[in-house]
Amino acid sequence: MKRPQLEKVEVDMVPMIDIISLLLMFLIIVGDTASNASSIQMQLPREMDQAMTDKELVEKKGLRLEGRIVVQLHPDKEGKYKAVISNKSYDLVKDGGNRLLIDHLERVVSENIALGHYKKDEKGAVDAPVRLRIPEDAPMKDVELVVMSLARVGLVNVQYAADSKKRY
Amino acid sequence: MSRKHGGGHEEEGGHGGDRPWVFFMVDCFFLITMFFVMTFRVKADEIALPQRLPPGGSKPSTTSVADTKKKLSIHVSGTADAKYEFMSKGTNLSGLQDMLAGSTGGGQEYQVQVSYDAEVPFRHVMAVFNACNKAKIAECGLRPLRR
Repeated sequence: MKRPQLEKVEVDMVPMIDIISLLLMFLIIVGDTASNASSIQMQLPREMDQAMTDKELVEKKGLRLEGRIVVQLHPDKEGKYKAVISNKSYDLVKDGGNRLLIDHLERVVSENIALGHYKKDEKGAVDAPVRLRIPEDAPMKDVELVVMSLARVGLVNVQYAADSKKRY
Repeated sequence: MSRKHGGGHEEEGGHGGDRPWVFFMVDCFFLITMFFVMTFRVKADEIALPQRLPPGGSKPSTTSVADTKKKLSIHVSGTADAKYEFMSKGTNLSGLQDMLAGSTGGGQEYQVQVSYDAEVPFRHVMAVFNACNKAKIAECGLRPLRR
């Protein structure tokens, strides 16, 4: 009996590498990995027709985004809301118990004023932009503690983050 | 196993023949691709509502700067459905927008103070901020709860 002749298999790697390169390029261009790594996934308020993209804030409102402080409100495992700044969380305690949060904000502000990045006017208002990321269902008693802490430090230029997706 | 390359040149032996680095490169390529596939997230569609808080917070102001802004007060209550009171007059969100539009203008500067019940969800107050922006009122602050 004649032995079947085995054909040599050739694997052409070139098209595979081309396809993977294209896939990689697509993911790098369309994806949003490192830049938003510290953003906590949350349901932001929707249907805010006056809200603007970063580009519009700069062009239409003349706001600056450099040196922006991002303050996020996030519930812990027990459902208690905490303020999160640069992956560090701060308890929200009423009656001036927000000392750690206020101290941190004051330190950031004074350092940046010393470096000439922020300015303080005669009313005590600091021109630093603050992005507040607050879930739409967060109770106002907790939101208030964050907003009052910001106002106390003089951070008055607040941008409330919203979701551009419409509610259907 | 043999692999044919571009110009018909044939290589003998497994693992890339005389070019084993090709396979290391392909492995690395796969790992990088896997990393990007795993961490991939479509760019967040986040927008923001700019607002200016009245400075000072709960700390009493030490400076006496003349404040010529006219103050408007809005109260928000309700948890599932919001109830609004504009200058002690009850209304809904569209009514509030109309009232704000009707109350502003005439070269006067306005400041809105929003009060609320403790358990009111943030989205109802954010809707007030949105209405203020629509009425071109830049300064919109919160009136703290009496605890």
